[in-house]
Amino acid sequence: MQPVDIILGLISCILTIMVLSYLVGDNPLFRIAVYIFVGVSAGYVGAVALYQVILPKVIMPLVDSPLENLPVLLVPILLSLLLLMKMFPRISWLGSASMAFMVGVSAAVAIAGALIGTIIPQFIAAIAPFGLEDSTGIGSIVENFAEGTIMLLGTVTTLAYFHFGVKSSASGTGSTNPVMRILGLIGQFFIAVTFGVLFTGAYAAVVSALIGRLYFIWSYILSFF
Amino acid sequence: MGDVRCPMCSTPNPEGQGTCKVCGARLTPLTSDIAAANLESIHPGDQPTRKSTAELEHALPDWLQDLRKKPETGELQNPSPTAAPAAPQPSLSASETDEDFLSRLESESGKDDVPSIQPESTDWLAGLSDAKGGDEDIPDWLLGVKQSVDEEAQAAKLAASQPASDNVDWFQRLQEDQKAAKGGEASQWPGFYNEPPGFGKTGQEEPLISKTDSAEWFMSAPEGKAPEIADTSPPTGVTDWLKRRKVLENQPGGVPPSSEPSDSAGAPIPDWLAFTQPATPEVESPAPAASGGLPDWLSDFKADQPAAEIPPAVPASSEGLPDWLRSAQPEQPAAAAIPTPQPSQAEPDWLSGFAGSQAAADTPLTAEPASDGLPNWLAATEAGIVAAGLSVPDEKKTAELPSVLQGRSGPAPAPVSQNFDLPVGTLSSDDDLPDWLSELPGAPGPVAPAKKPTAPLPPVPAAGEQPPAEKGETPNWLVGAAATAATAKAASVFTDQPMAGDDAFAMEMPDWLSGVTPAETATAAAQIPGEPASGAAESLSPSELPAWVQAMRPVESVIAETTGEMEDEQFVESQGPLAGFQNVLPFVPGLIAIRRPAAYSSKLQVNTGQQNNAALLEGLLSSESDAAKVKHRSRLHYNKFLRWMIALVLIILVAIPIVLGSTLTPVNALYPPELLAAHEVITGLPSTPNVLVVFDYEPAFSGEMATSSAPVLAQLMEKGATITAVSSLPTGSVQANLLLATYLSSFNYLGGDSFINLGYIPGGAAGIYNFATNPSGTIPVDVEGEQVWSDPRSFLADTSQLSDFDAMVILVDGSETAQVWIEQSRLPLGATPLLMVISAQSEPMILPYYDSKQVQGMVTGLFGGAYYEQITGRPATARLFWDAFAVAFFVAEVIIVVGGVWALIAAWQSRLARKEEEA
Repeated sequence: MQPVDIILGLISCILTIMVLSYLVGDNPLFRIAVYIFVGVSAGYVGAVALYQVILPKVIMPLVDSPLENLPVLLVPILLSLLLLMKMFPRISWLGSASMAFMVGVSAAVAIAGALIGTIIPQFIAAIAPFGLEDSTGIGSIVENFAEGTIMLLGTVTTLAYFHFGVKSSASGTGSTNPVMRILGLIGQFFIAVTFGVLFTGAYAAVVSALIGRLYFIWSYILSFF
Repeated sequence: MGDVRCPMCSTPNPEGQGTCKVCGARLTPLTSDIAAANLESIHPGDQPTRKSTAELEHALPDWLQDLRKKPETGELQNPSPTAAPAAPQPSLSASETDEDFLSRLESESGKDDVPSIQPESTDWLAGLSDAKGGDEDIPDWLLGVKQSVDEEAQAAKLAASQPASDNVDWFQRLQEDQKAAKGGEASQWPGFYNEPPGFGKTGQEEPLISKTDSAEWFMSAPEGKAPEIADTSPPTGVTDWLKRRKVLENQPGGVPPSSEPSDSAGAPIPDWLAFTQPATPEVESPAPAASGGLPDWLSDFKADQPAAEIPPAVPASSEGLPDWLRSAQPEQPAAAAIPTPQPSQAEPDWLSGFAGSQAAADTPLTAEPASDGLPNWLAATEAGIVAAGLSVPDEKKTAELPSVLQGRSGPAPAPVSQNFDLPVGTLSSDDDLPDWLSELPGAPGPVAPAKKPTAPLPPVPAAGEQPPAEKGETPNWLVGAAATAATAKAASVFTDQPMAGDDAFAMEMPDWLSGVTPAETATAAAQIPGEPASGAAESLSPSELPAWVQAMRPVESVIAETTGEMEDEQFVESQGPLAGFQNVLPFVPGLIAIRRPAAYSSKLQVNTGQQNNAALLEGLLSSESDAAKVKHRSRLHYNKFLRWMIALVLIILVAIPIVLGSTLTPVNALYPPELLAAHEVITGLPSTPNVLVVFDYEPAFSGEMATSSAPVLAQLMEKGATITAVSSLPTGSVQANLLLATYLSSFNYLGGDSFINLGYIPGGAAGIYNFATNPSGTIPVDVEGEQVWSDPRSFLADTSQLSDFDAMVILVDGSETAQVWIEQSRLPLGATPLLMVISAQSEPMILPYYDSKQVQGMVTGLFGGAYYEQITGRPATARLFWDAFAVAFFVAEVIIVVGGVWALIAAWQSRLARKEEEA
């Protein structure tokens, strides 16, 4: 094992232990580890942005072919410089144009992607079991139909659970619809199952991370033996 | 310009014009009078100066001030609401004689608290000399009287030794005049002969009250001699002659009848005043009714003085009487023949009173106010005249008359019977009555309407109604005049033509006498008593108000324009409890529905809900005093020990398999379908596929992601796939190198030709979209700066778009990033399969994409990796982690079960405790 690896391993182990020290509570070791992580991450991101974005996409084209690339790169360069004005409160208004451009483009991409990539396909997928198009037999038909029914029931009851409308009465106390109340109870079951699944996945991810860290430490220790 | 603006309407008028051409208001203010009274001139727009009535008392004439004094039991009303409270006027009882009345007046005048410039007196002529000019000139007849008064006063000073009770002692001067007539003393004109308000010449605007303040010339006269008879009563505002009458009445035998009237001092009195000798006790009479033009002083006297019994009229000598009074001498016969006096429209109220009393010839005057305007003292003197049978030769009467009346003595005119309310025959004979009294109008001729006094006057009987009177209560001198007037032919005092022998009035009659025409008097007689005269007989106009009144008048007011209208609309209530009052709202039957008030139940109408709320409120209020029990609240402790123990147990249990390297936990064969689909997709790829791998997971999840993605990439690498790594995270390229260097080091892809690391895609979702649509344009070079898209040696030389790849594998830990990659790259991929290796925490959100067939295969978390290793038959790191992973899940399951049970037991115990507390 090379010394660099040993040092790097040692640092990694130490940082891991420092982060795991949060079990006893907030302590300086944990904060140091967090600060180091934030700093290193910020530095690395800056370096990546410089070497993988600015240099190859702005500097190098202007250096290689300024006359060809300048008209194309002039607007991005100008908007980028104006965006830097956000750091100064008095002239931060100059960066409003760049911010507006960025927000507008992001909103457009997000809305279009959500509509085309999620809403419509998911809507189609929700009604597909009732279409019986992919059914190859009665069994599949029943299976698909049941699957669709359960999925539909879960969706409706979950939405019913989140319905908080109350009908006013003469006595002043509100009364809910009995049907909505029953659907809400069923929706609570589906919501509870969903929360359980989410917790399981999160626990599995965390346990996996723990196992990996423990395995790294044990491997590092074993490397010395 | 010279234009003068009207103070009322602001209309410009030519200079020199007296009245406004638009509204008729006076343009020239009475500044001289105002200045004389030390009052500030009024300018348009000025706010009226508020003055109390007490402050304005001094501005009133003395005689008016005196007359406004109320008696103790007075019936005399306050003549003006703005004036100072009137002095109490003495009220006369039925049995009180004139002398009693006079003495009481004297006593009460001393109690008068009303401030006045002049002492309490009725010297109506005293102020004549003090007049500083004014709106009208002092009549010559008043001037003559003034001169006689002066002479008389000087003589009285020499002879008199007793203090004067009051300054105004005109009657004493009258008697002294008689003495002077015999002995050279000057006579004095009775004060009532002053111009009463309301009387003026026709068409001429006369001031309401003479500016000369006629009492001033009385006041300026030296104090007359006091009556010889000692009078213990305090001086009053009554003239001395009245006192003398009173004294005479008190003497045993009453006033001794003598052919020649004389005062108590023995001095002969003028013939024309001979009737003043008291003969009968005065009858108490209330204040006279409101008559049109009766001056306040006359009406007040009429109210104060008892209605004396009017004895049968004894016509006095008409030679010494003024013509106007001479005509009023009643004729002898029959009292019953006296027609009911009808007050003419033009007849002044004070004269109309005479007519009313004349009708009640045989009816004695009672305590009711006399309907005429004749003061009671005048009526009383009439009785005296009758009793005394006075008769004064004409020449003596003429000589005794003041200069004012000297020119007017003449044949007595026919007495006006119906203008007097004295019973017929009560007046003395023509020989006894003074000329001025005998000439009182008896005929129902037109009499100039009198100006209605501002003060509410006592009610007057209706026209024709004979005022109740008691015999012997009216002055003797006036009784005879009334009787004479009843039978005398109708003759109006106020005639257009000068009366025969009316030399006394030839020169200059008072305005209130000289300005009346027969037409006006007829109009006044036809009017209902109590109502003001209508038509042009209105002698006063707003523009010629006296200065002291005008000083009080607001500039903005339009009293002058509305006074007449208001007066015309006033009426006297004749029925009900408000009878006699003026300006009473008329009663309209049926306007107000008189009914019993509705009975409302005092019981509260409450419903059940309100009762419940009330009971609840009562319970809350009652519980306020109860001390609330302090519930034991368990503190919420931060259980560090429990957390430490769980952490310790988990770490130890997880580390044991790792340390031991055990693989005892079997991997089940229940593979998820998405995992099997992923395996099938990769198996179905051609050899050496060109695969785009996206490394979008954080370093914190590298253990799980590396464990789950390693078998998938291993399978691809075994197929000889060329891997192009790209990431939307700055640390993605490093993660790719780390994965290839550690978990896939056996394949030696790092640094080889089968692996290209494009690096970081900036811009988030927009960058991913840009890369998905134009990969070479978005990232033209790799992390080392080489042109991999255009380099022919690169396996990306033939790849220009995303669909040129054989497969795309996205390694992502979060669901959001996975969604963005699926949304942005699904369409550009086309038929290229999309495989995902995701973390266990994002499986619930990404699995629908598999169900919607947007993702062709999915490997989830550590157990997915383990399953995939088991499927591919290459156990790797995932299998090493499987035992620890299983132990961790087992520990978690145990902890969850134990904790649940513990929570159930604790809840059951708390419920029991709550029930015990409630019990």
